[in-house]
Amino acid sequence: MDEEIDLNAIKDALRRRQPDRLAELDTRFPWLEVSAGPTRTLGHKGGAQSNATTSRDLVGLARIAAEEAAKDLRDTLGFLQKRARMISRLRLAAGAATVIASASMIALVLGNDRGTLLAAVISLGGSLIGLFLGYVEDFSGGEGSVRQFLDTLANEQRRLALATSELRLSEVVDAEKHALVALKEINGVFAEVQFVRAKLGLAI
Amino acid sequence: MAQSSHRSSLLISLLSISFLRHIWKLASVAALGFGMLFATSEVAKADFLAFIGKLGKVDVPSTPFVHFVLRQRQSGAAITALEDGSFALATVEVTDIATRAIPTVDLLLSALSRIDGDILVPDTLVVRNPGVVERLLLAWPDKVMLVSKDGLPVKLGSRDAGEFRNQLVVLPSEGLSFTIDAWASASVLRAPIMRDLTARMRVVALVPPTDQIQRRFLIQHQGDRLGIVSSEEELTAELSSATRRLIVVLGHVEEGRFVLRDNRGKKLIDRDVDSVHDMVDKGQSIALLMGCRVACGAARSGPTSDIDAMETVSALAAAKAIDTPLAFFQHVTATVGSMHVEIDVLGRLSGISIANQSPVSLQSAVAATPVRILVASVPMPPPSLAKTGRAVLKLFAISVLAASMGWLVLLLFGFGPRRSWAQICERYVTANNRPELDGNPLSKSERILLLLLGPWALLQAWVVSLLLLLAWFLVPLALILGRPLLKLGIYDRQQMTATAEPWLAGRLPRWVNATVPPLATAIAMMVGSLALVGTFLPNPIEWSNAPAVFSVTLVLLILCLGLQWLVPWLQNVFRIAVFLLGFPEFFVFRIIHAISRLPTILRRIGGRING
Repeated sequence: MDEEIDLNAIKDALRRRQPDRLAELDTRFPWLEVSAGPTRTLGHKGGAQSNATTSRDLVGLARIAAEEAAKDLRDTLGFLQKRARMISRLRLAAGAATVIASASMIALVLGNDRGTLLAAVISLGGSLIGLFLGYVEDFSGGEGSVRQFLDTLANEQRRLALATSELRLSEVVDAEKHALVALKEINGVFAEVQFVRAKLGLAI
Repeated sequence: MAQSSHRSSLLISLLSISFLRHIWKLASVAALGFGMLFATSEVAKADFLAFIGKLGKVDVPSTPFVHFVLRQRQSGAAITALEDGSFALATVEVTDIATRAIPTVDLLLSALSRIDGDILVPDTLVVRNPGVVERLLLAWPDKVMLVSKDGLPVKLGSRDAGEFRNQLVVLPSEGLSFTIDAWASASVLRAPIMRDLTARMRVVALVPPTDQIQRRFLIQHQGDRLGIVSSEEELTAELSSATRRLIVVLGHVEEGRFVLRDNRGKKLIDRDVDSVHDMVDKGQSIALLMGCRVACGAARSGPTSDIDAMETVSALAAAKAIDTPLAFFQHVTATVGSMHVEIDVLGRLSGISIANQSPVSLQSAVAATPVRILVASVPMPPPSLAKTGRAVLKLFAISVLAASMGWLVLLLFGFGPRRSWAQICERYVTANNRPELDGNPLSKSERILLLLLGPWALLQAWVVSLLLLLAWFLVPLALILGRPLLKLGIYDRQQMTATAEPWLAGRLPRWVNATVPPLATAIAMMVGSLALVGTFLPNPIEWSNAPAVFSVTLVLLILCLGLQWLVPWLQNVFRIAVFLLGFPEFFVFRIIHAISRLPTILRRIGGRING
């Protein structure tokens, strides 16, 4: 194996998602050094991967990584969708309050005191909801960010599908090459998910 | 007879053999020009040396410090080069060091093969005959030691510097190598300049935007000394903005290039290591390029093995308490990986370290801020006693002159003598809480003093009032602008180390000195405003105890002024006091009053002594 590929995101994700399994992974893939804590080698380690791995190891790792990636994407997507739903609901509520408040102008014109009071209270409620909406959006990484993240993760799902197909191919023919491509794509998926999770304030 | 003849012939033959042997030795010695081949066993060696010793030592110029080391070690050999191209080989003999001249390198090598112990070479040999040293290293890779005048012997080695070059390097500790000229700048290596440099260090890290774990780690450990870049423009901006600092560039290095890839493998940054180095160089900063094997196969400073970003950052964070560059590199090597250092890194270290800047340049740099016109930020070194004395005399002379010219100057300002006199008396009375002039005219001494010093006092009072008024505008400006100026590096107190202000070192923490001028001016402002308010109040405040307090303060001030020569920070006390007593109008008049009271006080003291 000549090419060195970046597996840092996969290792970080395995550390996060499977802390109990690290010892087992260490025995199975000693060249991966997954339990050594986060490392970022500033160059290509002279053939550590090429020396110690067989194509079977690569396929095995790719399989585990693909499985974890699918689960991780599902979890993060789930969280994102819940967040997106909350934001839409808040937006609806704020919008509804504004509409009712404007309708209550009629009450004002008619001189209905109780109606005016109700209208004022509703518009206050609407503004508060709007504030809260702004806070939630900011907390999720800025205005419109949740939508962006949903798009990103949708892309990553496509990428993972590609990786999985490469993995299937590797089981049939040219194991090393396809396993490497699969690992590369899965690493990319994990990297993007790490980014989205960091912005959302989830554990990375 | 046959026996005796046999014996005698045997004897003769033996004699002839030994004689021949001696002749041969002499001849070979002569032929080799006093060089020789040592015998391999101790006995043979001793015998050989004894014989050679009979020939006497060759008087060749020796290198004293090398011989000193050799004597201490009592084993090994030392080599120095002679002008005629031959070499002087010094070895330890029974009582002393013996030095012999050896004409050629090959003979030298064969001589050395029979000696135990290390081979010591002075730095002059390495510089003038690197080829010889290389051959020595080839034959004995672990035994060659470099001895310089002011250092302990240190191991020499050789490394590949790329482009078919071999570099001679010094190996002071495991994993760390210096080039010969880098090691020669021992004064820089052992100078306590690192603390200031690491305090102002900037870490430029090449991190892909999605790598949040690395980002968090970096921010956690380096905080505000960090610059994370993910694109060519950001890298350029970061490198060109930092001036006169230690810059550590942390990034993925592939074949002599800094390469940053995003998670899809696309190259975000692809920059040649040398171009990064040059860019940092242009900003008069020092570059420490940390990437895998930056210095492998190239004449560059940097790691010679694979390194990890997290370990490097932790090592840098832990280097805060390290004083000298040598200790710094040893620490980095121990925690991160093997390193190689060339003169380019060291050459500028001392130049940009503030500790090595002259106090004059430092003071002028700091004093450049406009608001420092009024408030000196750096106390000048306490003047010598002679200087103080001269200054006092000068002041006295000037004041006498001013006093005599005072009336004229007042006239120039449009104040006639009568009007000026009225002003003077009025201020004098007010300043000293003296009863009104109507019932209590001025005494003779008072009149004389006021005549002499009155106009001067009046002028000074006016000028100081004007200055204080200016201060009310400038000082708040200084206090407000202070922080941004700090960030712009114009008023960067952090840049000054204790060594630049030796008269403050150990006596006052730096922040105290930094706060004194603005604090003093702030207090002066407060007091000045109170005075102003006091004048306009319907019922002026009673200053009944003011004179007594004032006299005591005056005495203390004079003490401060005198003792500042011994205890320098009294300067600050003096300065604050002057501001505190900054009723400019009253201050000078009070001095006059105090002087006028002096004869009375002295008389009273005299009276008490007499009975």
